[in-house]
Amino acid sequence: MAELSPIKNVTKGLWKENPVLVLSLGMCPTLATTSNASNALAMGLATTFVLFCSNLVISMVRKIVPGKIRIPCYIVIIATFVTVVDLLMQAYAPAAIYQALGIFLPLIVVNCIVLGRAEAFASKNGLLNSFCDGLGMGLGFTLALVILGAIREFLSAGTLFNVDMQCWSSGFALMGQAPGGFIILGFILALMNLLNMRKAKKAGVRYEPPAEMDCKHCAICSFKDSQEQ
Amino acid sequence: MKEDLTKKSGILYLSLFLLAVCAVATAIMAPVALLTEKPIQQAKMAKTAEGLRIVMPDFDNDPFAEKKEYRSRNGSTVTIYPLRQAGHLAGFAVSASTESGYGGHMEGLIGFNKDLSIRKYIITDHRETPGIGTKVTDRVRKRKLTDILTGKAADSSLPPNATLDSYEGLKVGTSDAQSSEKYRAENVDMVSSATSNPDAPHLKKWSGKDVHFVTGATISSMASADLAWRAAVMLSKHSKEFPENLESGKDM
Repeated sequence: MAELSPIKNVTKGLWKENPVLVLSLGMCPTLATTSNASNALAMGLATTFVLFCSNLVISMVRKIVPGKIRIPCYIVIIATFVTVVDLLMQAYAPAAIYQALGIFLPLIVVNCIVLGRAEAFASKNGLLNSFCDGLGMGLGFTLALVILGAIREFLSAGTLFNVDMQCWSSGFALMGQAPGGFIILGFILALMNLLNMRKAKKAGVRYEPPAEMDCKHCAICSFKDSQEQ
Repeated sequence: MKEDLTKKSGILYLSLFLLAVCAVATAIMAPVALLTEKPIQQAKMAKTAEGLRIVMPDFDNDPFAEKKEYRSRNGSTVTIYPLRQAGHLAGFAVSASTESGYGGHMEGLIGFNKDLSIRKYIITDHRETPGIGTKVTDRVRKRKLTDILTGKAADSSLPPNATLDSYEGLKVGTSDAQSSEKYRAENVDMVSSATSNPDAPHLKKWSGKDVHFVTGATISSMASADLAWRAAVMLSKHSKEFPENLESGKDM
């Protein structure tokens, strides 16, 4: 894979390699925390912060971590980082901000986007590119969550960021539940594929998702293959 | 061929490396934990002081000076704050916790009237799932679009929460408290045993009324019921230990 410029490493996470809508990473927090837009935004921002910081640290230590134990090492690094952020926020952040963001931090440790980017990108790239990748993926994750959260909140409660839009008082309750999340996510994925296909058609080519993004090309399989050879 | 344990791919080397990573992580976390210990305690005290004003606004004493701590059967601490007006007992605030939430720890502050009925209930700390379990624990302020556009000031009253508000006015009687103690003695974990026993005391009607549970957040709802029950039972056992009136000058 050709090395991208730092700016492209930021922008690729927004659309072309969006972690939720293209890579399908972090589905659990995506569905659990998008019942309203405020939670989606808080989860997205907290994840973005942890993601670009953990990418930085992992990129720094990538050359000294043995391949066989890299996953537990990355988990320890991410968990340490999250614990430190949690303690600092609890002590020094205003109570309202900790109350709003604090509950998302334990969820971030097990968010597969953070480990996924550490494994697929930060462990193979330099500091600047890893930082940009973490930032871009975090912003892409936030964007996808906020769109999904806003649609679900509006349809289920008639509100947006807890502001009553005064369209309807009792909304479509299913959209606030997990099945509603799957349905809306399905529609967003279909729309995204449609737009990508139209764009490819205009360019006179057939749309195909990025080849390196499929299951066969993930870093775990690549590592296994390299061990077998 | 016997594996060379000291080789970079050997199990000894890998174990030592992982141990070193954990040691570095501990070395980073330990000073941060020490550094933040006091500020976290201060932040918690400030939060409790703010919570006391929310659950029981009408008092003029220093509840921290008169508070009493009791050990609950599950090992957690239940703190009772007597709240007074001009030296006369006006009510209580009880801080209790449970580990039965979906995310584990859940802490709450409950204001009680003088007759030991619940006045206001707020959850002060929790780890419930945002958007699902937080329907039980959070009080979210909602504003109307037209109010924002017309510049109308935001309502400063406590935002509603159907589950927590459903406890208002409820109280536990002496017989309820005794049956709860017996039940608790037989069932260490009230929430998990309650799932198989709908007659669990804290899930039964309080003073002839139902409490509100949220669909999809049953564990969180039961944890909030467990927390309220622990607080109410502890208060019913110890409320007499707090004098009705304080001599003037002693109450501040």
